[in-house]
Amino acid sequence: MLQPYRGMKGKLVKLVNLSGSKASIYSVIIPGESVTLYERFIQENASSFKSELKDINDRLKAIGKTVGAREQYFKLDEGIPGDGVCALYDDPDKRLRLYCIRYGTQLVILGGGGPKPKCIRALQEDPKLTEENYYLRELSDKITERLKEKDILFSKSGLDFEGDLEFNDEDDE
Amino acid sequence: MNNSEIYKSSIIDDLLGSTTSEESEKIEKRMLLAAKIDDAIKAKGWKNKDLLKALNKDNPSVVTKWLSGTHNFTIDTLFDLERVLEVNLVNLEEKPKRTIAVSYLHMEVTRTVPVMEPIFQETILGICKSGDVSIRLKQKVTPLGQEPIKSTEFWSCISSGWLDHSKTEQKRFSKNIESQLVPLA
Repeated sequence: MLQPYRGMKGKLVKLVNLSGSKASIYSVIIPGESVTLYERFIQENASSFKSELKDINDRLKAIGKTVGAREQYFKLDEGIPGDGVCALYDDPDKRLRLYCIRYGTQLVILGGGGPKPKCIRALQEDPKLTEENYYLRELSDKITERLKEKDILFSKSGLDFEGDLEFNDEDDE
Repeated sequence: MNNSEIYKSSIIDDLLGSTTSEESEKIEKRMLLAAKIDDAIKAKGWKNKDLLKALNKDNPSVVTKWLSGTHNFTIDTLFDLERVLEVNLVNLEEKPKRTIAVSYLHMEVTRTVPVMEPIFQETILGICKSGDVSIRLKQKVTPLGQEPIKSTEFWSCISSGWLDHSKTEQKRFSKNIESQLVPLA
């Protein structure tokens, strides 16, 4: 049974299976967990939404290797203005929502997500989606701080983060 | 400066492995098609609402869905998009493959190219037309790893046409090319 995570801890890692010449796909490993947030999202939904997961996974691979992280493939403005938190586009008749942070067309950080209950109007009405979304908001905030301080830089190719990619609650305070 | 940690996931690999290559190709092509439509909208200087207006539609979420790379378009919708965006999305013309040989200076290049497609790779120098054949001649030609030749030398280089034509047709074609070569401004 996967335990829920709390607090702003984690390390950015580049998912080599999905990344390519068009975009790099990152996710986050939470200390004490053996899988990334994106893998956890797969595990949590594999039994009920296998076909949606396959579609999401293939779209992410196409973004990394063929088409890049164009704005049109995402549902934008899922966080606070300017923080890049978004969701991979999900059709109203699909159930799964996957949150991410997008940095232009070349970098995406995958977080977690979950099934969208049909009865809710805002993500805050669903605790699981709220937790996943707010984690990324906080992560985006920390990354922005480090970019400002130059503790994190974009690589020359624009395809990678460089620098201190590990986050703890106590950092940046 | 630390580089990002590379992470290879067997969970992701397993999921990728559970999709057939045909399914993956379809997903990729849908995303490429969506990108082409988005590029065509931008090329016209349009916003999504302009596209809606041109198509006499009023629901913005329709365009969002089209551009998401997940939509399974009907042929009619693609024809409508082609018409208003003035772009080719469904290719109905079969382009015959023909072999063309163009020799110039000490080099001879033989390539199989679809009719109407550019042969050379660099700056466009001129365009020749002969019947339904159009060839773009380009300045910096580096076939077979040779040094680029200068444009002035290039004008007199063309000496042959389609290989699958008779010699007489090839000569006529070459003369046509030379007489119709129009340098671009």
